Amino acid sequence: MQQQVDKSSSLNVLTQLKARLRITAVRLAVLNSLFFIFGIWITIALIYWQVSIFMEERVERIIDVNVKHFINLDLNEVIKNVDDSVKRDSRKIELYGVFTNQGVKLSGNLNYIPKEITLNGKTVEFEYRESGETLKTESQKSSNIRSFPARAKSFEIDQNTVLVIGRDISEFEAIRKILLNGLITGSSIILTLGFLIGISLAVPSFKRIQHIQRLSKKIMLGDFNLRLPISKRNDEIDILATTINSMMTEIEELINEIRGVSATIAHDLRTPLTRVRFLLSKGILLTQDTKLEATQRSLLARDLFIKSIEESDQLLARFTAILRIAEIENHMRKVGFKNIHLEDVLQQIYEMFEPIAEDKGVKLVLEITPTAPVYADPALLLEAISNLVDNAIKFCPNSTTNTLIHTGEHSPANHVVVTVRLTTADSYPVIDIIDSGVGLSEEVFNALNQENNSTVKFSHNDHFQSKEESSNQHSDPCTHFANSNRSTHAQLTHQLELSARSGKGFGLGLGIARAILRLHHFKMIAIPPSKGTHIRILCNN
Amino acid sequence: MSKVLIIEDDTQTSSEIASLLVSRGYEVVIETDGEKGLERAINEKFDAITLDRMLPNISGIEILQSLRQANNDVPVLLISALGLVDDRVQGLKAGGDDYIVKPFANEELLARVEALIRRRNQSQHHSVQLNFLKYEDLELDLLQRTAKRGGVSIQLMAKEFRLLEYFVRYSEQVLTKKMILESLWNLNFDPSTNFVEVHIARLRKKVDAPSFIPLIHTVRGVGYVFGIKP
Repeated sequence: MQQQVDKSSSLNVLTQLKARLRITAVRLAVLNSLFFIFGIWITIALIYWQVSIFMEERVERIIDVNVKHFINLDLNEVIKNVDDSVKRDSRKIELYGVFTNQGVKLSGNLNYIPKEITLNGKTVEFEYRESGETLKTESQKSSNIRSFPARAKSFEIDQNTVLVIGRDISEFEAIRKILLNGLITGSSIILTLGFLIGISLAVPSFKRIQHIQRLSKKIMLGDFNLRLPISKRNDEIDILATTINSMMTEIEELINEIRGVSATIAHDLRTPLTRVRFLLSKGILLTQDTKLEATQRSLLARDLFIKSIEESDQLLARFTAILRIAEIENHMRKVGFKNIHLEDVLQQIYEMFEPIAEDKGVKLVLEITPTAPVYADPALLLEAISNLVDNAIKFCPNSTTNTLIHTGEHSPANHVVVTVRLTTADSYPVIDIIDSGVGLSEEVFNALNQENNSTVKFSHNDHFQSKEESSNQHSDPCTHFANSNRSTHAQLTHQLELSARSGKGFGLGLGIARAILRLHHFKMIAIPPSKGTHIRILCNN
Repeated sequence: MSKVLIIEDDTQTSSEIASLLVSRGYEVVIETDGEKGLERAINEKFDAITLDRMLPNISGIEILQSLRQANNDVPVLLISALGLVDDRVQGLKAGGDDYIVKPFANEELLARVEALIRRRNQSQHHSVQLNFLKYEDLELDLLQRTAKRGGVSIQLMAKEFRLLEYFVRYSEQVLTKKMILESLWNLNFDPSTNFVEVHIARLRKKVDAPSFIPLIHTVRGVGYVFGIKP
């Protein structure tokens, strides 16, 4: 059992180590170290090569000088000189050997003629063993039998004797070993340091990534309020975390909207459905009512059917509005965006609504100052502003005067007027829709302005229980509110739509207008008028 | 007798549509399977097709595209529960002649089918565009954009002229408010509850002056009919 636990924990450590090794910082540090080591190897190899050449040439020169010295001497003189030279060589690096043709040693410090050497040949390098045998066993190697690298050449003194002159090149070998050892030690140190630096760099990143991993798992489990931590370093992880956080905000809003839509459907559609059901049930009871005459029953039944159809139409209108706002907010219509002139849109609206206003005894005034083009979807903007102008006309009290037509002149004070004005403020176009209707309550007025002053994003699911709703009248279908944080805004906005107005209508207009303007990044605010309502659209997208 | 093909997988809806059309004197063929419906539409001659957009195996859009690829120009009324602007645009781009969203009023469906058949018959009989339209004592000059009734000129705004032209083209046929709104203003939304009524009231004042026989008639709860009442 204990073994299993140990095995499991060591596996975990291994897995963690593997995970850390995969971290980019570690990889980069190790890779950097390897490149560094490679560079050092190249440098040392060059040094070694140069040193080798230098030393080989030096040895060759020394041997050649010695050869020149011995070449003209007879055997006795050679033996005497060899003995003297051996005695003089305190470092014991010079090698001499006088041998008979059969290889019998006559003088010198070489015990035999190395087999690598050819008579009168070139200088060769070999491993010299004083015993003359190859050291094979460990005991031989550890014994006092000397073995060292050497370079030597041979030539004939006379017909029966051979002189071998050489040099111990152990020093050269020692330098080679020093270089190699330095290379290995240095490489190991560099690699270890590189790895440690990599680890030290990676650990904080790894911890942050682990933290992000833990948060992501929680988010995946449904905690959409969480956000990834962002440090002050503003490094690549922070940049990524910022992007992910923005994405999370959008996702959270979308999820809230989806939740809101469900709530809207449940709340907003059940009420009218109940009414339809009630009317139809009443119709069934009516058919069974024997107290009434057939004609009466038929008339009453017809009345109930008409009411049922009307209720169904209201239901459909709500449903359509919900889908319409969802469509706008899902940015499905970005394809229609282009640079347009607002005056064209407003002129079209004027032509559309002038007869409507006239019919209601309201004077519709259009005041246009040419403005810079804006990037917008003309069809959507037409819909948004139409809704606002429609509301303005709808909620204006009926004029008692004769109908007026657009003249561009100032209207008499007693006429009910709706003004649509296009001007430029701070280099961007501003649209004002001013009516002399019932106006907005203070709280509704503040709610509309708060929406724009804060970062709170209203959605089509901002729904509210209204006075009309509670009294079984038609309510704003554009809204339901799943998020309690938004409820105050939602309720107030709903009042803006319904409670503050006293006219008819389903209150769809403002919800749709708001969604469209938000899609354009235009701001809609309420301006305090002396009388009526003044809605301003700031087209500064 | 005009023959209409109904391609609709929901049997109750298809039988309702069929009984409506039969009551107006149309000959009706029902197909509940999309592929069979397409085969029939290609191989037989119909005056109009009502096509459900969402069918089980093959979508209404695919049927429509196949139909148009086969150079079949039979007028198609797409019937769909998908009522978003983009859905409508997609349907019309695929070759649909008109688009109606479920649920719909019976009169709305009838008016649209009738308009489709009428439009087709007109285009078959008048391949060259007429510059003048005439209905009884009302004359429209489409080039000069002028109107006269009983020889007397009527001053009309641009939109009023288009509305009158639309009425004359579809005379003696019920035109719903939605149809008028879509055809004349090209709006994808209902701008006001009495928008169409107000514009038609204005036109009526000018066209149906007291001395003339009224031509613009309201069909209560449905729309309008242009013509002399029988």
